[in-house]
Amino acid sequence: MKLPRLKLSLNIKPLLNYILIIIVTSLFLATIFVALPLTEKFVSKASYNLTLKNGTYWSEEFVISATDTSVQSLDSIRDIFYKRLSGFGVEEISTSIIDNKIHITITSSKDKALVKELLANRFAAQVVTRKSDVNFENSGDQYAYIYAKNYDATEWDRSDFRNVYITKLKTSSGNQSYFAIFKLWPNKTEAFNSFLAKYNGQYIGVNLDGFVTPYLVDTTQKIFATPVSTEDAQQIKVMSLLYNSGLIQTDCTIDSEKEITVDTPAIDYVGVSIAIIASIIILYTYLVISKNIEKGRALKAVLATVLAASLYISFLKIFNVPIDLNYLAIEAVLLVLTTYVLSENKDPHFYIELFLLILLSSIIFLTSGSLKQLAQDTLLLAALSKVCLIVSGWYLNKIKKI
Amino acid sequence: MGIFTNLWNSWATYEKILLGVLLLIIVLIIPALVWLFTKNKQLSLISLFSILISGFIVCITFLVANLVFSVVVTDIFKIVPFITIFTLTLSIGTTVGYFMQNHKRKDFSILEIKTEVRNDTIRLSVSLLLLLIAVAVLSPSLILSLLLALGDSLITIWLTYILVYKLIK
Repeated sequence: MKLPRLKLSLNIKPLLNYILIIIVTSLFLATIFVALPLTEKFVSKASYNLTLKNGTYWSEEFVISATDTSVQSLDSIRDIFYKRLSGFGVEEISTSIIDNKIHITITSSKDKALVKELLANRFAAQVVTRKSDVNFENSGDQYAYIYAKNYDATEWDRSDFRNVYITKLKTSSGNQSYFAIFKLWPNKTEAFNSFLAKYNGQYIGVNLDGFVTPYLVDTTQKIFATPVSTEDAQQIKVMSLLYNSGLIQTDCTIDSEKEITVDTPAIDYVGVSIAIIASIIILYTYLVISKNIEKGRALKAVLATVLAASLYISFLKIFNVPIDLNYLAIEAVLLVLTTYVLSENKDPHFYIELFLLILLSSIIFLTSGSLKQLAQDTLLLAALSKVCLIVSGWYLNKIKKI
Repeated sequence: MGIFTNLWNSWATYEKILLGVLLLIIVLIIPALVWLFTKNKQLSLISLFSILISGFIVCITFLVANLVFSVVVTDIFKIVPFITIFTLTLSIGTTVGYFMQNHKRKDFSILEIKTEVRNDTIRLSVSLLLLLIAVAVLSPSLILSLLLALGDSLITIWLTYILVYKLIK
């Protein structure tokens, strides 16, 4: 027996569109509310504060002297210190050589102790072997294995390794721990393996500024890696910079440190936010009235600007990314400008995007500190602006159809 | 000139090399790309001259601010060349975009570029004036650097327009 077929002529596409628009609108609103200033005052269950760098800045002048005071040597040390500090993201670095001493003035929001480590350590790595007349098993001198005086120097030092890569490896107990992997220059691999073969099964070590990290030679292992005594990501970064920013050929010490007062007046976050919103409104009103832009295009641009700014600020708030309010204000201005140019222009945007990409990437790779950070953020915001223009175009189109 | 000597002496050799490479990239790559895309010598030369002029204007601004108004040029003043070159890049990109969109049109005349650049420069100037003044007024720590960036950006894009007006015939 055939059952009668039930015919339903229900078109669910508009319904699904409605639901989609409701979800997207809620997401937009949520992002905007999270990004708005002072949200933290009204939401008690979650922290939506901006993590500000303002107030955490410190400034200090370090005077460093070196044993070899030749111009070439001091210039080389100055370059290495600059590479270390800029690699760590120190915001302001100024260096000079006065009376055969290197003067380094730093202004930064980074951990002062870690920054000082970058200047206080030479990190001249050298492979050493145990002295035959030292008893390393002596219970009366438990730290005999640490001191460089108990070891003989070898011809192998940092210059024989192209870089030192710090990463997590499995230990003998099966746990993951940080190790410094010394990567040899290809032409030195054979000679170094022959050297290690002579000490197979014995302890040698790596001497770093007078302190030795022991290494049990095992010729079956393909890498030369010494354990690193920290699990802290920032300290690992510092160690990596100390290993890989160049070789300081002479001993150097910090002679003096002088604190400098930092004057970074905080800007009015709420006031600046209102000023930028007012500028956007005035700008697009002017453009629409002067018939420089169609209403639809202006609406799309405003929505994209608000969305991009909200997404960026929400990201900063949720992930507690430290930000300098002065630079955030400038980034907001550049975001509005980029979104406007990309939306207003009927011509291909490819050329604007390409030129911006080249300009900002060059600044990111070739500068340091706050300028590098500004270029990074601006590039991110330019990409976000492009995506938000597409999303807002799609959203407004959907709304029109409903 | 003390300001530039002090600045030069406060940079490590490595930093000077990196800055040299950065300037070379900005001065050479963007005009080279303009020529590569448009195959138009005038547009390429205009982009080269406008970049050189922007650099010159930034240097003059710092010199005048320091010598005449005794302004201490600090790290935050790095935003002046940054905003200036950023604005100029937007302006060059827009012009190249317009040229590439229209140059194959039968009735296209290179003189149209003049009108397009003028309109773009007016719109960019209005946007810059509104945004930078709004932020500058409410940010005492940024007011001087933002006003200098605004001044330099406006002078640069308008000089670019003058170059377009004079060189494109």
